[in-house]
Amino acid sequence: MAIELVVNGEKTTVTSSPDTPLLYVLRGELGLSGPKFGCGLEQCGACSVLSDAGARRTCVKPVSAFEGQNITTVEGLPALWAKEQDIPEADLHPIQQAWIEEQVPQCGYCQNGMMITTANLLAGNPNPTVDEIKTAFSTSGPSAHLCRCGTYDQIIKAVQRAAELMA
Amino acid sequence: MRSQQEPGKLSRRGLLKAGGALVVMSAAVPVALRPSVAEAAAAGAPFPTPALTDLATWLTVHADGDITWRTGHVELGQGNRTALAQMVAEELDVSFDTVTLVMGDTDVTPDQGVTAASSTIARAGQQARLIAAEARATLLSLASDRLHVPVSRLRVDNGVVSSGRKRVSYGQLVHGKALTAVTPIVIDSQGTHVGATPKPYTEYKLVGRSVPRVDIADKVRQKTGFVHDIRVPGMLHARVVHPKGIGSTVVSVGSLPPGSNAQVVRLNNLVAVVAEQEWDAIKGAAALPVTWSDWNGLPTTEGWPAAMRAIPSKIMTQASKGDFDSAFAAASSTLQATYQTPFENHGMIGPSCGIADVRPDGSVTVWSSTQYPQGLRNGIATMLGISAEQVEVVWADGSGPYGRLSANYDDAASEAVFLSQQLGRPVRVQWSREDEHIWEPHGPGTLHDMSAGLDESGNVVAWKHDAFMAPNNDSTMLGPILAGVAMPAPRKPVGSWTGPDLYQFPNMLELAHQIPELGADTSPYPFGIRTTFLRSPGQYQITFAQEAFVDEIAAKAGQDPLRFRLRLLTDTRAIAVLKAAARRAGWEPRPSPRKEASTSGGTVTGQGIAFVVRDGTYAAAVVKAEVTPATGKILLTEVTVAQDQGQIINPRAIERQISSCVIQTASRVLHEEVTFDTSNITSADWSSYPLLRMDETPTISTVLVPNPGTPPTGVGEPAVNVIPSAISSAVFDATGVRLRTMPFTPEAVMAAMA
Repeated sequence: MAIELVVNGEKTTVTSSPDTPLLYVLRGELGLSGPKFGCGLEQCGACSVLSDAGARRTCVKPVSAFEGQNITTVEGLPALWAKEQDIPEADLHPIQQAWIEEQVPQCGYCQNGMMITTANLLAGNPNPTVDEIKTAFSTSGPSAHLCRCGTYDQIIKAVQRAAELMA
Repeated sequence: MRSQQEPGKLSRRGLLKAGGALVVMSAAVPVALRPSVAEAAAAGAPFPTPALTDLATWLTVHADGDITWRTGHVELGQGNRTALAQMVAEELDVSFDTVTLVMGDTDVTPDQGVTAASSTIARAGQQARLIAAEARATLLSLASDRLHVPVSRLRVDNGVVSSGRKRVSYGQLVHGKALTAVTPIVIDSQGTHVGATPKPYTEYKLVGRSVPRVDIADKVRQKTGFVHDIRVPGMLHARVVHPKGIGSTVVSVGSLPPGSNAQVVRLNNLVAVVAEQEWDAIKGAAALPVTWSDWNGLPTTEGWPAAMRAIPSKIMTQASKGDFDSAFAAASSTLQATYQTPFENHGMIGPSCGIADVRPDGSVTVWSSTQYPQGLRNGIATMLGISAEQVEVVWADGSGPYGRLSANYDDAASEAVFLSQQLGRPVRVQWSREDEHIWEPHGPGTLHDMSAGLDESGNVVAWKHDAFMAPNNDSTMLGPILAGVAMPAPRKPVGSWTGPDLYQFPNMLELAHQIPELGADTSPYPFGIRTTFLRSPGQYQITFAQEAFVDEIAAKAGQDPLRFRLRLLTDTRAIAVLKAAARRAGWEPRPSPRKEASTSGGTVTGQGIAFVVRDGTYAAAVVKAEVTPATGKILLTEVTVAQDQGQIINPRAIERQISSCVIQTASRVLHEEVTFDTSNITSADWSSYPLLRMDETPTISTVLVPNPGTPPTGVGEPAVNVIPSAISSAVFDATGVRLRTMPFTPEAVMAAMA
């Protein structure tokens, strides 16, 4: 059974079985490696994407639950920014630019989810306080976003920098 | 420099065919190397292990002047790809952008040992520095001949050798030629010896600068190929159904439900479900009925401390000076306390993943994020009964492992090897979160009985540290053990003391009871609760007990904890880091606990300090914390770390490592504990084994103490060691209650304050 999604701006028909969690469709069928498998339990945030309903974990919910929705992975953030700014194209989303400027990643495995949640946060709150940033990553989703390498303090700085770049 | 692999994987295999790129070779290499490589290439066979003494192993100078540098060490997320390139580019006198590193591909990279114990810069980097200096000397010798100018009158700028108007680039020099090293490289038990002398640090242009990390842009763009992202043509996805108990064996394996698109593979106790689509393998593994034997050989979370004391163990003497017993008996006052650290997880955010392709011709390729590709290569050769030359291990970026893939090189890859051999296709094994939480080789639980005797003036006259250490060196890989393949007996893992004595007391006795793995005595497998190296293994636990106990002694003597330490120390580097941390943090000189210390009422605050020498690096930390006794909540508000790591390669990368140590260790100290029943680990997810959240992140300040004339030492581990006791001491300062058992969870804090 084919399911229609709009992934990173492109209408896509996927053929994975409908009970397949979206993560495996994105990674396995569509070859998008940005969303990462971390737990399969919605407990870490590594698999996050933007959907019509905001930032969503993809490691549990089946692809059928996302039918017809716009899904944006980190790979699609530059195009999303270009569309929002009405410019032909963007090399990087300002969030990615901030992540590079602040040299956030260490191993980098969890950072997909961190950037997605930043995009979600800044969409609703363009100038968040440090406490609001901490809340967004700690208690606002199904679980806290987990980083083992200890990049939380750099993420806070990068979110603030991204807010500046997007202002 | 660029972070990608060489185009077309320009190995020695490719070099024979590539017209534009040439190898820098020592005299003996062309004869010895080319025929064997050519023969191997013609036969499609793997290649001999790259020799450490051949310049050709280390670098290729391309016609356009780009440099490919090969290292056996791998990037674990800490920036060593960048720092190594800085060191190499500096020595070669080329621009940073021209150097590309190839890391951890056993066909082409030298075996420089495991990437662990903060050793990349201190050992592999220092070795690369010497060899790069020799390469530069070799290139200058060639330039001298070409330009008819003595070497002494040549200069090098960005890979261009010149003397007045005469100039030639490195790329032009090697184009069409093989080079002969001016002095053969010698590697012996004393180290690496070359004819050239590395630059004095006063001439550094690249080393010491915060060069942006070369891997970060790709990680942000999601262009980094993590091992989890690798897809090999024809590859199958596998999930392994691991034993129910640590010592359980298969009784029976049932069938997959009708309609399943997966198949079951069973090799003795290695049970896996394999499918074309990953989700089919996951569903199949969840649905497969497997009956395991009952095994109940573990002492449980509550029972392990008593069990460890009861297990017969060898006793290692770390220090013995004077006569502790007599001095303790004669002391005017004494102090005794027991400290405890729990079993812990490395906690990779991406669970183990490995891909193996065991081909019909007997050759094997494995993709892994192991910390030791050459070690994994040899291990796979042993488990398959083939020669190491038939195995290639290709390293790829992975989830930060912190020792998880350092001795147990890669469990998932070792399982994939047997599944691929059985199925005749490449197989990718991805562990589940539960697999990783249960089956990773954990950090060891430890106990520390501390005793001190003081004279009338408050001086320590007797000091005893009696440690009970679960192993921190398990090196088993699950694949061959579960598959029932006979392997050479692994070394019997034991716990061990790690780290130097920080203070010298007149009468000292320091012992480590070397405990075997819990449950190993009754398990059919050669392991119990597997425990191995976890970031700063051994020293983390030892330093927690010692530095917290030193604070207890200072409190008993009514002295300021900083001044008390400074009186005991004579090493100027130790004194410097302690003073630097105290100054930056605004340390309040006074005895602990503070006058306002309280366990009733609202939130109270305190300060704690600690010091360590780890891997030759000196680190001191000041922790400021808020404690709310009513809820048991400890919140770190400010953490300051001063560190002297000798020569600084990349200051920002070091500051990031310190931050990483602070946050990760705060997580371990405040939250983390592996729990288990009599059969197996019960903390099987992030809910039962929580990590620190962003809203618990303190403000972190770092002071890098300059010391450019001293060789660089490790930065990935030292600051780990100063956090546990500094937190314990800050809580003591705030409340007057000493926390001696990690983790300091709200429940534990409330119980301690009650």
